[in-house]
Amino acid sequence: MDIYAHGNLALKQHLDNEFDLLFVAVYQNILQLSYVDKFLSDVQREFRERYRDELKEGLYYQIIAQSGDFKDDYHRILHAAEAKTQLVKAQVKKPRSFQQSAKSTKTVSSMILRGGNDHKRQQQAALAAKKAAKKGGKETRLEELEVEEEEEEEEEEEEEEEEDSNGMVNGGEVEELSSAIEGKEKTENELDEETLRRNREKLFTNKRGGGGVKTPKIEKAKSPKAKGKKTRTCEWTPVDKLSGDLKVVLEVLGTFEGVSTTVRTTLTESLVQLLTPKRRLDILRDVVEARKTSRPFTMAFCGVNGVGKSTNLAKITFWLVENDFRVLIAACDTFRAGAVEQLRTHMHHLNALHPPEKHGGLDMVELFEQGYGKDAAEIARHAVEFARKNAFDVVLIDTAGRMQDNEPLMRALAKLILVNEPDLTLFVGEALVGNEAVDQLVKFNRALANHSSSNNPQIIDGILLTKFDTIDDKVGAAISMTYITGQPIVFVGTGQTYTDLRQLDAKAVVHALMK
Amino acid sequence: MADQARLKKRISLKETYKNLVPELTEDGLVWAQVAAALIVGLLTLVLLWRLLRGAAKGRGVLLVGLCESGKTQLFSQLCHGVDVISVTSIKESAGTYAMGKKSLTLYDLPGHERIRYAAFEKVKKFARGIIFTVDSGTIQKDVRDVADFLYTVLCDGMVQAKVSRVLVVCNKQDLTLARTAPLIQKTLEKEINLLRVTKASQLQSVGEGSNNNTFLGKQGQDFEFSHLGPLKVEFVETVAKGGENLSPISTWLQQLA
Repeated sequence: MDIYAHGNLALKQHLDNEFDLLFVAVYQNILQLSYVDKFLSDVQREFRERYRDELKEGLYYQIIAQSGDFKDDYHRILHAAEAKTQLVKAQVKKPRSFQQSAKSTKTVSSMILRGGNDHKRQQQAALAAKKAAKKGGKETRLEELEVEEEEEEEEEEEEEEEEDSNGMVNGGEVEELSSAIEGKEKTENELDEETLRRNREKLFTNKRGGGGVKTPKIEKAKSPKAKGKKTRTCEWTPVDKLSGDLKVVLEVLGTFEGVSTTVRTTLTESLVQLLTPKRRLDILRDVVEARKTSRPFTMAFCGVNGVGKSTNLAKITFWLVENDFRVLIAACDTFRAGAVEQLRTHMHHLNALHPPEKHGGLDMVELFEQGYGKDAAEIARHAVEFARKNAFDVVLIDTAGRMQDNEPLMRALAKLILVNEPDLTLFVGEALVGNEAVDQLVKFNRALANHSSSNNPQIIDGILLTKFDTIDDKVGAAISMTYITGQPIVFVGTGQTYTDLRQLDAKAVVHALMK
Repeated sequence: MADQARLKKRISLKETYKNLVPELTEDGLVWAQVAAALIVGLLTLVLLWRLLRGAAKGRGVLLVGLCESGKTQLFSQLCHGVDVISVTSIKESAGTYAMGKKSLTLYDLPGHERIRYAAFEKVKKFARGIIFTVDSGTIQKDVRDVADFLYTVLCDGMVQAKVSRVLVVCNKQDLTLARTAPLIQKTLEKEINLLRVTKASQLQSVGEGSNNNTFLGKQGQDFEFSHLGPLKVEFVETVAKGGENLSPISTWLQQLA
């Protein structure tokens, strides 16, 4: 069970599948409580025992009304758990005495090396005898004459001792932890058995129920799906999470529900939930808001080389211009030959599509460039300044492509983000490369966080997935990327022309995946 | 004649039977059969119609709104009459709101962005009315999120077909900086007016999924809630906590039932 830390509080949770109950323990982070797991499962068990009837009927409010009753139980369990830890702490382990160790039982003859010369053997015998006489004390390390066999023995013992002393330092935590884990497993097993038994009873009494799918069945149902995911290039982490979800559902499966349909619906639900953005995504609305406060809305694009940053920037420009916003493109790729010229070509094309005559004599798209070799952060800053003065609504910052492991360039990108504080930092990733994109995204995110000098660094807050048309229904990368960063996929590039820009519809995508 | 025969049959089976035996000619029997068939048929039709209509109309009221706007509080006040210390819901919950003979089912939906639409999809087919809670204290700051959610709810096809009334509950009126209901209405109208434009020029979504092209209100006019036609949107002020000021909501629920 993971510990979730928030400020100086630590949270640990325990889920009860059958009744959808969540038990959460909150305590000061500084306390290294070793009994929390066991305590949670104890509380869960007692709570279930006590309110079984109400839980079955779903009468949660009755439980709330009488939840004061549980306070005593709660305190009792807590005291028991604490007392047990104290007990373990009290039993501080001392190093064993020589008599207790395995060595004391050894005879002298067993230590004699066969085939050695006589002189050596005699010396050894003498030494061994001396050692046996020096009982209780920790033996000194014998130097040259130590027999190999014995040396091994000693090392083992030392290791053991080390472990013991560790145990002492942490107040017997190792011990306690392992016992806690054992205890937890045991209760879980008990619970499972209990559910099974109860279900069996139900089966015999009124010929229905009998839910509890046995574990092999769950495994069987789970594995083909997981395998399917793997071939669809999805990271394992989300798969683990999804199979966790599945297990939760399957463990409380009723009689009349088929396993495969349940697996399918649960998987669809969790995938849709995974792809659903955590916040409102309405860029046009935000641009309008920015216009109201008479400042430009800035968007920065970053990503590795050749994923389509400039192309998709042009598509977004087209979309914004179609919606009557004036766009300034800041050419901050001062690195690659022809990068500025490429953007200028786009600008001419877009201005040809939306001639100034139609928009009150103003160019809808302009390019802000200061040549090659300059500092990108400075150019971006000047561009935003220029946009503010010349009534542009949106500034799109095109950065140079960089590999995620190139530290100087990542540092430069972090500086650009820090100086300009864009409203939206988009990571441009290729859908084609699958999990490689996930690695890129993670490293970009980390670089932005690490190289920023501010306390609250601005990291990637949106994903632009390009070349989506090349991968038919393999959206594994999309799922992994959103799962790992928790950031939404804002745009999807689906082709070469200006109009090939889409937004992601979680439901449609998941539907395609599950077909 | 057939009816009379039935009435008598109840009074005393034996006697009436004896009396009727001579009357039961071929002709009379046929008529009696036809009448009985007609009555049974009509009864079945009436029952079926009521059943279907009941199912189609639904008796659910959905409690929706952003996180921390007081949905769960309102739900527990209305259904159970108690105050609860609530945390962010992760699952929808249902409860019965009884008024004399009639009763409505209230659904308390989670407000978090990730799960609210999934929960909404699940229960929207039962909806007869919708209660949309708004935190009057933070409306100024959250107006874009509130309006976006309200807009999405109002645009939903199922809502437009089935729901006749929406109640916007301006909750937390006990806060010192709370806005009044008319002011909130005006802010939301202004915001939705803008949203109509930005939502319409949204990018097309990937896959065959089509964008929702419902246009709220009247073309060429600034948006007002009164333009929504069959959908009636009302605003009330309340403080869900403590449950003293819930009368406008219960009146609304009574009208709905």
